Amino acid sequence: MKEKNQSVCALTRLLALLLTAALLAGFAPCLAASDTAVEFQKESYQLATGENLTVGIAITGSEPVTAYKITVSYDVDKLQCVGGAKESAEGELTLSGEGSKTLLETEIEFRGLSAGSVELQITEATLTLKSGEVVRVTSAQNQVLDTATVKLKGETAEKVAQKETDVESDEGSTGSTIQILGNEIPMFVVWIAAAVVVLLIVLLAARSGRKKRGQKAKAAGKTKAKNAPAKAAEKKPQPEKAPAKQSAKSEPAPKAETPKPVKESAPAAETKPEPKAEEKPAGAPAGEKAAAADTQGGKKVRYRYVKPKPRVEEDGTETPCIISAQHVTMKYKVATNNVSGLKEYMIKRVHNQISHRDLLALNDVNFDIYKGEVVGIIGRNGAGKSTLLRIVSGALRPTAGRIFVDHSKVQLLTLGTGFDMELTARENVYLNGSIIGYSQEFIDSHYDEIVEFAELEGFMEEKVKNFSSGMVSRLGFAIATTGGAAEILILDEVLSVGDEFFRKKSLARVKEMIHSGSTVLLVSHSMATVTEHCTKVIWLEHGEVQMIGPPKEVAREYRKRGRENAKK
Amino acid sequence: MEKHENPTRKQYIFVIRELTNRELKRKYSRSYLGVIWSVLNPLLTMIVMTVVFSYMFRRSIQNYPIYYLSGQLFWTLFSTASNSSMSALVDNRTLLLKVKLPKQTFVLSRVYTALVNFLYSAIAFTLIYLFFVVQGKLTLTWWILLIPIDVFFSLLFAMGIGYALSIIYVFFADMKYLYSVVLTFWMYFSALFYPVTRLPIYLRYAIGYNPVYVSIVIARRIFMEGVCPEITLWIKLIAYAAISLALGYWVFKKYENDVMANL
Repeated sequence: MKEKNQSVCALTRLLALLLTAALLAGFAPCLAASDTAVEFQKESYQLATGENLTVGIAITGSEPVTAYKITVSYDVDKLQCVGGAKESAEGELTLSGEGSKTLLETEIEFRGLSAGSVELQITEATLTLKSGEVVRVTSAQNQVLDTATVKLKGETAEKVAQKETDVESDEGSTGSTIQILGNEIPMFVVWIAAAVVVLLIVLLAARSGRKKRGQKAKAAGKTKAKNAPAKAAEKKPQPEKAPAKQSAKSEPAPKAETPKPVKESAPAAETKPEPKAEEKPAGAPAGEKAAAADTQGGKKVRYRYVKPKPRVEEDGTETPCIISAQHVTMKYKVATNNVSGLKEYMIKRVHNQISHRDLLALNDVNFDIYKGEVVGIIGRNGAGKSTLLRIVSGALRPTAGRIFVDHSKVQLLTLGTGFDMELTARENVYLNGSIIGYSQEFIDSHYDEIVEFAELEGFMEEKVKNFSSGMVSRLGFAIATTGGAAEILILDEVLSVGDEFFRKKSLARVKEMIHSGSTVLLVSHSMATVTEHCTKVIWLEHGEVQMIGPPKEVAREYRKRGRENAKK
Repeated sequence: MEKHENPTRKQYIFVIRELTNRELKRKYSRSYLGVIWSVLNPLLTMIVMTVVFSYMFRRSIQNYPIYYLSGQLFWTLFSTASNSSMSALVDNRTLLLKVKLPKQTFVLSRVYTALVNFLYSAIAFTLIYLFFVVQGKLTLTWWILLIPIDVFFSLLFAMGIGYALSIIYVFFADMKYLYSVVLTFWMYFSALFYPVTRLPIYLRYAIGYNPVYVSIVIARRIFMEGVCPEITLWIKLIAYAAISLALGYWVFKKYENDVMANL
């Protein structure tokens, strides 16, 4: 039922997008003239560290492609993949999908890590054509892009044309910015008998990157004319999607302090300018969280949400994607001038002095979690961990973005949820249990088990307010975990409960749950816990994903950052 | 995995019952008599009111205790249901953030608590009423079976108001004080302890449109006069309940999600 709704929703979004695209295609001539229209195919892309870059990959051919699997390589020191693709090896991403349109598109989200040059390279592509023919294109490793040879498995003659992403380091001028210079779109064109398959890497520009005005418009459409054959027209709608995502940020925002919305000059039908188009300085200091985050906060930012796809293992088995967060953004409204009462509110209202500051608890968070993974979420206080968990559990709805997860399978374990200190322990077991979702019969039959696990025999008729905090959390843990493992288990700081002995016991129980095949999301401040139990770690900082990766690596980086901060 | 089946209605009822249980226990958690206060309270106020007013209104109202109690009972049902619903969301803030229960549950549990309280108080009323019947001052008729319908619809009316208030209270803490003033005014305008005949004619006309008063009049027709309440009264009662519930629920659903960011 829920899924149906989602697909209907996705369908309407798609329709709206197509409509916009079609509309804009009609305006194509005007758009070509205006420099806001085309966001990709620019001569230069700049990206400050910590900012995001969306890279689009478009696949088209004279014969429709029905399924694809593409491997993209990149430099892990410079870029970090934060969404859209799976990391199949270090520095290698795999994208796969299927469709029936003449133009298939997919996106990878990168974050700039350090200054320098970056190469993005399609190293391998396996395409299934409508006719059922499977085409596999590979480029040998360590070869420079422009000379990379692409071989086709099969008998037909093939020719590969590819252009490079020319990358230059720009360290001298802007310090920590990455500049990606592409004089032409990197493009693989593969001819297979009658069919022509075109693979495009399309850079959708940095989220809030600096733009050089002069260079921008020139390159638009240049390569297309040259290389992309018959299907060039098909790609028309594509450029317009870029501004839809980027909107006003493509403008060379004059100064960071301009508070007024920057108007877009193009008659872009649905692409509303963002309220603010300020630039985030590289490595923005912590305090600027709210302001910096605004650059992409406007509700009109349109994303395409992809239904989570299963991960294909090396041996061919598929692991379903259990949780997929796509551009999840949570914004809280915080009144800047503190209005404490109705009277004051009325006065301020009349004088038009009510203003809100947006606090971004989560800013464009993307990740995929597959069945059986144990994912740790780390980050400092206020990094957005709890908000994220609440969104995953379904208690909160994100202000923007989508989360694909079956909320009914989620069990959130937090301690003492709904404990009432005035009630006895027995009454609290029933109250708490009912809130968690246990039925009365279930609690009746498991009551003794709960008491035993919590080691609270003889205390059950006491009021909880007379309990020590350890006893309360023991009871909480016992109630929460007695139901056996849910399919998706969220543990919010529950592994540091009680005394040493109880902790061991509770850890054993959690491990048991993990081993029974649950997918686990775990929040902890204890690095040891995280590195020991997790298979993957998400590091959040100021509502943004800093890093996703193997526990040890992330922990190392996290500690490094911590030390740097401590020095300051 | 018995508990991960889709939450059924049964489960919600269980949650509401448990929450109600908590409200009741907490309300009297430090008192000796506990829930007996729910019975004693209306009895005692009735005695006070009777002592004070029965002489004053002796000509216009016969059987003053029943007159007062029937009004008081329905008034308390409405005012506690709506007033306690108002803070349902705010009070359960931590729960709301962590648990994926539908938010109505909390409002419903407050309304249900008010109903349970009402039923306890009804015990006191029944005792007094039977006393009057035995004395021959009042006659018991079958129309009394209509009382649950009256209770049901006045509860729905209170629920609608409660839904709306619970949302408003999240955004304006002042609503609490404002509403207590509104309630005071409303109470005096519900003819709990004075005869309507004392009102000037235009106010008597206006009070006929007071939803709480309508439910009280229905109760008094049945208890004091032993007749079936007029159909217009029933229509009014049901219409008010429907409008209030529809509006309240609409407001609740509309702003339900904004609430989370403001709690």
